[in-house]
Amino acid sequence: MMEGAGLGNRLVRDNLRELDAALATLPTARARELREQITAHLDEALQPGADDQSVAATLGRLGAPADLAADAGAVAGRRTWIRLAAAVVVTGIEAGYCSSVAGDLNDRDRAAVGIQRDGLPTCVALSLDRPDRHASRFERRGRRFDIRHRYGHDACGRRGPHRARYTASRDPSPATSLHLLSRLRLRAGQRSVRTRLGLP
Amino acid sequence: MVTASEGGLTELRRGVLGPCVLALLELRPRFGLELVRDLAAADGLLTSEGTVYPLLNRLRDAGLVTSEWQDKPGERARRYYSITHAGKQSLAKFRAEWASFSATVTAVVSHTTGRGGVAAEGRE
Repeated sequence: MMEGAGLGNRLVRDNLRELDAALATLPTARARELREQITAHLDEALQPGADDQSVAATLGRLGAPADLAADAGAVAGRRTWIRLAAAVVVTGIEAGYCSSVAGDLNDRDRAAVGIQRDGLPTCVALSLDRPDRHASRFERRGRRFDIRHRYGHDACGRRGPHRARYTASRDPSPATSLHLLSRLRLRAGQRSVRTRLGLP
Repeated sequence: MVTASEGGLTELRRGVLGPCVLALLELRPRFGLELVRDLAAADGLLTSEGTVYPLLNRLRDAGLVTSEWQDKPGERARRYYSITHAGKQSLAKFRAEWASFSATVTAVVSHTTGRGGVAAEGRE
């Protein structure tokens, strides 16, 4: 395709850059085709040496790059899927982490000792500065578990020992419940602990 | 703020743009900008010129339109769009339905329907 002088205009270059960004969620071939169609359109519609006002008018008639991309089927959905896929991967990693940390905590992390009640795990804050970081210490079936959690539940805002029931009803704190990824991570961790304890 | 009427018209334009493109291509093959200019010449049909290209791609995916590059002497290379046999059939079907549909809408919105419905209520 022969390119006219109009494509060198700053406004056109900016517009095409914007279009490229808006088309990023489309399949490559489709995005390339539309980019080529729009470039050919502008190349022919713009007079050589057209001033900015005339170029802006041509671009205005063409429509906003985002609208064009939306017409072509570009949506944010793909990014959502990527986030979801990432969340699934992170959850898997987190579940692996929660499983692997069942064992003795390092001394430097053990700021307090949990109290076991009714055979349920007891949760302790690891640090008064970081109430969101806490641990559970308990014994079950003759085996001792010290579990360090990275995500809080409703009781973890307190300082000092407190109980933690690994049930869905006492799941994440209001803050974390707003965050899907944290919720998924917490649930994966809790599932892991429940499985180890033989809890329903 | 977009009124219900404006929003409805926008949707209506979107809906009829495909058959209009097919109708223009039925006369002769056209390249992109030519098609855009012919559509823009029909008052109120095209809200933004760029929408024609995604539409052409959809029509091609549906097998109603084909495109090919032509490099004519003395002209720049251009991609020309042509209507297919399936496109002509689709257009013929739309024409038949549109005649009936537009007549119905006209009758309803202008209160001239003859079945005792809108017009009858309007006269009471």
